[in-house]
Amino acid sequence: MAVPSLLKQKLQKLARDLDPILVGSALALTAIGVLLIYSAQHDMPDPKDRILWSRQLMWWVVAMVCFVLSAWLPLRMHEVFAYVYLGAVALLLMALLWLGVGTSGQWISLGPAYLQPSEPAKLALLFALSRYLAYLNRPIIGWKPLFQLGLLVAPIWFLVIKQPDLGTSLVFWALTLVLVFWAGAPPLSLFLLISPLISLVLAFNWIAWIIYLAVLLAALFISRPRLIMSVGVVAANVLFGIVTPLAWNKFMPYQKMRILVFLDPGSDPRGSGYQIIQSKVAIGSGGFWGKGFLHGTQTALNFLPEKHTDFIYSVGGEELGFWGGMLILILFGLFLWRAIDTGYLARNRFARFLVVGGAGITAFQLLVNVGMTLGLMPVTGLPLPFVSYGGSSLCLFWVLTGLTVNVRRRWQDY
Amino acid sequence: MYRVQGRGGTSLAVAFVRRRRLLLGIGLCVWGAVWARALQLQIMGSTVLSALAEEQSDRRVCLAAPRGEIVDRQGRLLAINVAKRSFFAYPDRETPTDGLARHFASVRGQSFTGLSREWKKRHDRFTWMLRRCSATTAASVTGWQLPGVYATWEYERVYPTALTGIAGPLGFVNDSLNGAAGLEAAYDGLLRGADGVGLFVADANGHRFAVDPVAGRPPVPGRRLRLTLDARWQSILAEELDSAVTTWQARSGMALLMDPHTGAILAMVDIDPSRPPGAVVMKNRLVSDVFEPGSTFKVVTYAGALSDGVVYPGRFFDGGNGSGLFSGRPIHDDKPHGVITVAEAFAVSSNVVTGRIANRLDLGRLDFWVRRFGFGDKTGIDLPGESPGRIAIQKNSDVNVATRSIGHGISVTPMQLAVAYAAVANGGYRIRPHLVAAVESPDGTLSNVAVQGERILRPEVVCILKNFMRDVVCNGTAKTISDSLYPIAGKTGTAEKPNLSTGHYDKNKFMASFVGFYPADQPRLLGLVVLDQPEPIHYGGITAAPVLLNTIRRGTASDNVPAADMRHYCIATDSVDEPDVDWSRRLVEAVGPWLTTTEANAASDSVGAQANVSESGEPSGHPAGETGWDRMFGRCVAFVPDTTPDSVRVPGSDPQGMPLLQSVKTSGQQDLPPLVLDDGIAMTQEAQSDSSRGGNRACRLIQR
Repeated sequence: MAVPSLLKQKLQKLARDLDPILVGSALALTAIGVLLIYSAQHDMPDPKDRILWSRQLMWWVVAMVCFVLSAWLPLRMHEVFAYVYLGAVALLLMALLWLGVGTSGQWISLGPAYLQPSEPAKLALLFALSRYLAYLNRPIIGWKPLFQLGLLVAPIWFLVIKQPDLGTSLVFWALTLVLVFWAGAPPLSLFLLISPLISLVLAFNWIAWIIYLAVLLAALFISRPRLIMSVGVVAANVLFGIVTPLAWNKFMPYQKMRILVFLDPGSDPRGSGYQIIQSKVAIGSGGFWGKGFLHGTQTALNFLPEKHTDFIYSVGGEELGFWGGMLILILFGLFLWRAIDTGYLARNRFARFLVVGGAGITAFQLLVNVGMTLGLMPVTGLPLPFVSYGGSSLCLFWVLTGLTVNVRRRWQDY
Repeated sequence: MYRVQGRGGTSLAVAFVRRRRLLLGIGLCVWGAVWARALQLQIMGSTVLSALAEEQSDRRVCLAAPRGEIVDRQGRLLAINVAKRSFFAYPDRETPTDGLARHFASVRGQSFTGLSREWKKRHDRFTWMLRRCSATTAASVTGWQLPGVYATWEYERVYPTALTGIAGPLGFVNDSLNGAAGLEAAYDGLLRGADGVGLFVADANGHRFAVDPVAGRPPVPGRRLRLTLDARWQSILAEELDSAVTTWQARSGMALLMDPHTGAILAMVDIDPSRPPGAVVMKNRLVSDVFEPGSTFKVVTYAGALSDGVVYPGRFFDGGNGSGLFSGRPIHDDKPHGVITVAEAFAVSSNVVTGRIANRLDLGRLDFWVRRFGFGDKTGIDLPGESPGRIAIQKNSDVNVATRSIGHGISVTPMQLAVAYAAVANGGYRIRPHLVAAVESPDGTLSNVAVQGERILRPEVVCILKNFMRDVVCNGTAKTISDSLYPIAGKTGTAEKPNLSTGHYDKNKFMASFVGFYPADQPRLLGLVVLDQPEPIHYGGITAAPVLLNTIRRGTASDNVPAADMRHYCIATDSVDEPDVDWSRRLVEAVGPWLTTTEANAASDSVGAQANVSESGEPSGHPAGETGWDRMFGRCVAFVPDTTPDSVRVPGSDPQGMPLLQSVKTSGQQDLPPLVLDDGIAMTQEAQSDSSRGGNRACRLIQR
């Protein structure tokens, strides 16, 4: 009887180590993803498209290997090699300039499969930033740390935006913002940091902008940061506020169109607004209970664009309805809750940044992707974690899951 | 170790708690926003967005209703429909209009830029690419396999008989298949039917998508017109008139045959050699054009004078040796006459005596009789554009009365004249001429019942006038057509034509006319012939009258029908009877399967059996083709020909009926597969055509 009890103990330990809620939700999401990819593509005329779900299954196997590796490899190693990873990824991204294939040269051909270097880039940046912030021994809000952070992010950001991959470049900044917040930056400082961007958006309506400026000044007055900072923030805001409308008038019509279409997709229903409208139509026509698995007409009739990648959530919304969409969101909620919880649990600063940053990437992509399909956000082309088709993306998120499991297993390690 | 710095040096723990709350707050806000949005789209907006989704994938197309056929009184087809391929598209984001324009510019015979610009102006998604194209073009368009371009059937109006002069009464249709002239216009509402709507589902790339068929509305075919016209009489009359026009080098000729008792028109011909062949006949001159009738009008004067009792047949009048003065103005006769009776005056058509008789009636009474015969008023025939003529008179003077009494200074239509003579022929009734015997539809038949007209002449006057008119043929101006086998009674007319530029009558330009009925004692057939400027002889009795005699000879002799049995043809039926199958069979033998209703029904039955059409309207096991429309709603079975033989002269056919088919036009192209549209769900049957039929010259479309 000793052997079974030993096995039982081992299994219990494994279960504890694996964090069933975290891994379970990730598994469920990946499974839903495969099903939705099957539903989206099983009826396509091209046989290559029809078998995409089985390719995704293969990728899942690869991702599980990545998961196991990341869960068991010592974090110390990543800490040591963090900058090396970043350098390697930067080289890969540079290689894209010559070797890139695909519509915007975002893939590198690896024989039977393609690698999308922007996915490992997110991971490498996460390691690098975590490493940097873990060893930072002064307040994060300051010229030097911010400048050094900028130095870490800027090169790969530049390489990614050049592809152009707006979505990934936004992920970089979102990740940086999350980690800076986690490093102890006061929310107000963060707000001041991104305030010029808010100014840029609000400048299209000058009344809103004036009100916003007043709020900003009040915040500055209350928080009283250093004078030079206050002056810098206000100057940046005013500059953006004034320059934006002027720049707007200099834009070419098609550039204006892109932004206007986001604000009102109906203004160009056959062109740029098409994807947003189709996604909304698909989700909305699903109603509460959905049209049933494999019965989504918008999906089957191809009205839904990019249905197996960027708009996979719309497939779910159409076929599974409101409850299906909510199920996906709840699974993500569980996943993020466990990840952030791990972040609070961990003793090791590097590990903490790693986990929270991973959650940040997941949450940001989730928000942007679902927001896009619901017509709340502009079309950026970020896949839905775990669910969207794509090997690189699936591997990335399983690596993040593995890292979280790794951290949780050794939360007491310093 | 550096400590996490809170504001004012708050402790690590406090900062942690704060950040946790902030994170939770932000998370919940974002969550709430997403939930709210999902609720808004999927619960509140679900109906609207579902409708939008359907609107995107549901495509609709107009299912053309076949226009009603027009058949003659024997059921011979005069106007039919030929189904032709049409292509339409829903240009949208996925199928750029420019690409389509590039493809279709050449087959449409347009420039690429022009077509592209034309299509860009459209706001409808539905756009016709090509309408009613030939089989060859249809095959090549189908071969392109353009996504988002669908095929459907539309109809083309074909007048298969090409009977001379038939275009006048039939009229024609415009490009949208709406009646534009003749019966096609007069009965447009009945002929047109109601187009149906076909619905189907297509994906974003325009591929027709096999999901459950969506409900549509089947087309309602137009009603069928059965005319009083008889194609055989029409062809004979046309031939005779044509030869008269040629012989006498007339500028044009008009002729008409009708049943004087009912007003049913049997034949109606209008020949104008100056009209280019194939030109569209815009008007029917027999009802829309007026002329000065001349002597044929005298019947009104005599009828009025006899009815009013101002003269009697044996009363003598002085012919004045060929001329007489009326209010100091002379009126001449063609030949000098001495003192003659009223009866003789009618037979020799003396203008002077007729003028004298008219002056015994006063202007008011003459005017009364003119109106009583229906002049100055539309006859009420079922054709558009009828003219009432003009009978206004300027001044009450002897000469004006006399001029009018001999048919000058007054303008009438040939149809009015025929109606006036019909009153004599039928025993004194004014009838309403008509061309449509019945309107037939699957729901039933509406027969055009001839109404007993108003009596305008007393029987004894009718008797006298008939004798007068018989005398015209036996001893008078129409002696040329005196034939004991064919007793015709009638009246000739030889009228000088008014010259509109000088305001006087031309002394050498005449309208020759003859109106008569047959048999003289019990008239069954009334004919009118008008020749415009016959040369060198201009007398109506010599030029126009033989047309009627020859027509009656041929018409009654053909098929060995004894003259006494003319009733069968002339009065025949205003009720609907079965088409003359034998006659049609002869046609089929002659030109190939130009099917009668019965035969086409049989043919469609066999096609229907092939397609496994069940009575319940459920399609069972029909082969659904991948291209085009294979499911559609409709209620018809069509046997599609694509052939229209070029000028097939019918070999060895009956000489009398022959010209009927003298140019059944066909294009001699390859076959189109037959189309089978069935109850409920319809489908194109892309099966091979029936080869046992020996060539595909069937052009017949049947509603079931």
